[in-house]
Amino acid sequence: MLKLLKYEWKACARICLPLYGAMLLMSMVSALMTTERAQDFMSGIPTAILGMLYFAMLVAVFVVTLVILIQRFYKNLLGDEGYLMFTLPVTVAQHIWSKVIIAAVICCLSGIVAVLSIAILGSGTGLFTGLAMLIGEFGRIIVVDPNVLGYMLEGILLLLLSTISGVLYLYLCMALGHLAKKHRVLMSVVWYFVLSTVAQFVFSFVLIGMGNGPMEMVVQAIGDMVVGVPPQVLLHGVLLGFCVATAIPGAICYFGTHYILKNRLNLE
Amino acid sequence: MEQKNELIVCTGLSKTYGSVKALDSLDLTLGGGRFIGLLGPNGSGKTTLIKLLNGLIQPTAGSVLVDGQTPGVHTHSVVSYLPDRGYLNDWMRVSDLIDFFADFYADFDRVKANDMLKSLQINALDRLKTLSKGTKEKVQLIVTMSRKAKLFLLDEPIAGVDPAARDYILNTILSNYSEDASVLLSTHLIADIERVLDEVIFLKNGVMTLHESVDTIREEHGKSVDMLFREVFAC
Repeated sequence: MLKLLKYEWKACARICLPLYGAMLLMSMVSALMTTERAQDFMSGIPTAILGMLYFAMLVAVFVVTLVILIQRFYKNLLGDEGYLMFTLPVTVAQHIWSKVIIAAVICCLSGIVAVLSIAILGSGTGLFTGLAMLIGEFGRIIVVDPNVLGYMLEGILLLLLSTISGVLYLYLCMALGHLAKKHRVLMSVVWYFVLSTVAQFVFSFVLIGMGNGPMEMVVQAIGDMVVGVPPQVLLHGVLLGFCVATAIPGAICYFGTHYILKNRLNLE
Repeated sequence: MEQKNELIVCTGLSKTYGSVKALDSLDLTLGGGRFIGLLGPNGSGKTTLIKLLNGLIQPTAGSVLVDGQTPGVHTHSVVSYLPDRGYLNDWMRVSDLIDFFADFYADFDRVKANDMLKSLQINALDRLKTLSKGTKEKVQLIVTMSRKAKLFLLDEPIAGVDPAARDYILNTILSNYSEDASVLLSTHLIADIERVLDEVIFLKNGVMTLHESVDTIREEHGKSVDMLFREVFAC
């Protein structure tokens, strides 16, 4: 498993890390160019161009992340490379998890790099002092009410779970598309839209159901239960409830993908 | 301990793709220490059988056991497989691939692999992407044969390389598998490999039409495997 993670990381890092480096460098240059003197230079045209380039770069980071995420799964497991990967002495579960973990890591890194680059861009405008104040304030609140730290950790967990679920969803679409005899890429896209629509239907069904019918009683019951419960506990409950709600579709996607790769695999 | 010698056991093994029967209730037992030729025209089910043995596809009916187990983590660790296509990615160097194999397979012999690379004049620092098609095949064959596996499954290993390298590769295969290991090699270039074969299997439209030792064929039919093949599969 560690070895799979190692090679997965190598394969992703070779594209991602230079891109992150370029992104951060770009934001530093842009930050320098937003000073007043630079803006006066050639009526601010270089600054404007750089600004556009910066924005394009930011978009590129996210697009590349998504492409890598898809390509690593599709090419490495469902393409010709699958002949090598699926005859390694490792289980299908290990394959999927190694991909998911590294995918989640590069998603997080991309997010961090994006935030960091914006922070660098704004460093001239006293953003850092503001940020420091914010963090200081935060520290004070945590001391006053330790629950806040809990909310934050739950929030991070929720973010992480939704990333993993999202990645697994893409994997499931590709695995389903792979079941087709031809036009497998096209079928993956079709599955993506079909499943998204179905999920939306289910979701709105549940929402409607909450207003009336049997679901109403459940909601009522929950409502009765939470009366008198302190709001802090309630917020924890809601956040953790969201976590579970995100993890469930993720788990469904995982088991679907696992089943297909194990039993229905048919490399071209 | 006759049981121990059964490296491959297929019972009623069938695989259908849609309405096409690629393999039709195959019963086959292969022992260790044999060099077996899997022969048949295109589309006769050779690759299907090899994929089933590797667990790359699941049988529609029947069962397949390799080293006593259904294809999975254990069988992958004792089977060295050469697919009929390139599986090399485009970002590794040859040396990275060697590291990769050494990492995942405990029976991989790095020294042997490097020796073979040297004899075939392949630079370990070359990127896989820049290699020619034939060189890629050679690299794949080298890493496959550098393992001390119990079973080598070679799918068309010599089709794409030049005749000079073909001889070297055949000798490599011959000198690299240990006494109790078996080689199952699919090909339609029979004349090239006839001299090294112990047993042959003829596949025709997914049905095994013959499974005999080469000596028996020579004695009973009085002809070479190549001649018999041409006779059986005459169009």
